[in-house]
Amino acid sequence: MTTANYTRPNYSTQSGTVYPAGIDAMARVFERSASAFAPHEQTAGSPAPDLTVVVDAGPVLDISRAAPDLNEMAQQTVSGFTIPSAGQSRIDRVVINDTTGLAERVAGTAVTTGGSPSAAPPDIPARRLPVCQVAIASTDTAITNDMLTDERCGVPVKTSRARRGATVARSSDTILDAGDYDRTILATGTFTQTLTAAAVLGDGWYCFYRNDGVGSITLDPNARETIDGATTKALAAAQSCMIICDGSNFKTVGLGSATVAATQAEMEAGSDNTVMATPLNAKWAPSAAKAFARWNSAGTIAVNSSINMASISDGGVGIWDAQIATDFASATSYTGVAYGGVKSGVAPLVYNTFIAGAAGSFSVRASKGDTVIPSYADPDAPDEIHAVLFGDQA
Amino acid sequence: MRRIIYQRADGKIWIACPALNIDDPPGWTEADSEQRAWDKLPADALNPRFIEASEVPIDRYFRDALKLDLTVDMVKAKEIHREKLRALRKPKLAVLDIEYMQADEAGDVATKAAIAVKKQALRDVTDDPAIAAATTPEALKAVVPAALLER
Repeated sequence: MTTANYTRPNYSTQSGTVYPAGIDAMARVFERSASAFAPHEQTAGSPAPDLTVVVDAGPVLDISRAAPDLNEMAQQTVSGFTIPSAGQSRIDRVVINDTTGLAERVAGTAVTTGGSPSAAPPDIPARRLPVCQVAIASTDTAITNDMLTDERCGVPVKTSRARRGATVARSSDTILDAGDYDRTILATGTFTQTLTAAAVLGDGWYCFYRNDGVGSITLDPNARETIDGATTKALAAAQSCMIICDGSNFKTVGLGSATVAATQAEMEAGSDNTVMATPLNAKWAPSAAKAFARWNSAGTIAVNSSINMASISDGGVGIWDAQIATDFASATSYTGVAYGGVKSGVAPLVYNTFIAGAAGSFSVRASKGDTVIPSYADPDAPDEIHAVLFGDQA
Repeated sequence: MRRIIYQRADGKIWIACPALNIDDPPGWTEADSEQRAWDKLPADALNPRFIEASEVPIDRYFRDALKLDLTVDMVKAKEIHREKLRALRKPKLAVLDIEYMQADEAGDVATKAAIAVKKQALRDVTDDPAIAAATTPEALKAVVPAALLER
């Protein structure tokens, strides 16, 4: 529609020619805003009005796409209204879906007329803009203008910016399309994720995609189009990436796995393939030694090297007790081995016994190998005792 | 690093050496290790105290006679020494037993009498008066009767 120069009409000061011309100009200036999605009774058909509401044409500014677009929505008819039961009334709403631009009915709750509480309109759903309220009584037979309360906000309906970047949960294939621009898809399960043709999405389209479950998601572009040069791309559990379109094909950016560190329990279980082992938590893996010590078995006792030990105690000839810094879960939740070593490389000559005594300590005993009834003895060689412990730490 | 000496319910004297671990956090000090070792002493540890590492005897000959004040219990030490002497004479007695049997088979009475004297000398090594007379660990350790020195 064309527009006009706006001059405020003034009946007192303007001439009989200028004044009506000013009113015409004002109507042309206001028309687009005032008539956009204007609700009113049905005027077409027979009988008219009926149980429908007409929503006039209006624009939707769609900024959910790489290239914003102005969509002119034609006049719409909203149906589905019903007459409440005898003695009841109800308030419905008409709203505009800010993504599709389509007008929708939102049903209210019928209440007894004149009772308490009185009829109240339903809430405006998320991602919807209000158009009008429709108050219907059991005695009505059709929807007329006097039953409508205009609720339009006076601004063009458009896909709000908040819509962009929204997260979308998905457990099966729904083709990625223009509406998914800038969204983050959180997918679970195992399925093939199809993509709209790159030419349709256009250069610059993108979305974020994360395999948020434990299955495998396969990204499958249209026909012979490719993603990272291949016809499909698998996303393993916890992998995520940005999918970009160049108008012909797709590429992923930043494909990587989650960087969530495994907990102690997850490391000990050793079965979760979606979390990461780190320098800190690697020590909790079942295959990792939980404690280690190497100490002198002759002369003054000295701890030469250790992991997770508090102390090595010399209790006399052939007797050592070790205190562990971070205890095991219990005295039976770990095992270990102790053996003699010789710095010079000479073979050990003593038998060493490892005894898991308590959650926080263990013992090592040494005796000469040629005694029928073992008696503890300091070894002549080796001059070092080594102990390594595995198990479940507290 | 200092050591911790303490006694346990069984009467044994224990000497704990604190550990400075490979995986101790950055900034961990020997003092931290000493404190950790102290905190983790056995529940039945009696009269614990820190001592310098240099105070701990290097010679472990009388280790099982060590007392809480780091002196040697001479009664226990003499029994330890006697056990050591018994261990030394055991192979010598075994050799003499064989020689005695061979002399007996040969009817060599003189050799049998000489061997009997040697065996008695070995049996008497634990009764050497020098053992009872020793007043220091060093003097006691030096007591090695002549019977044990013979081939």
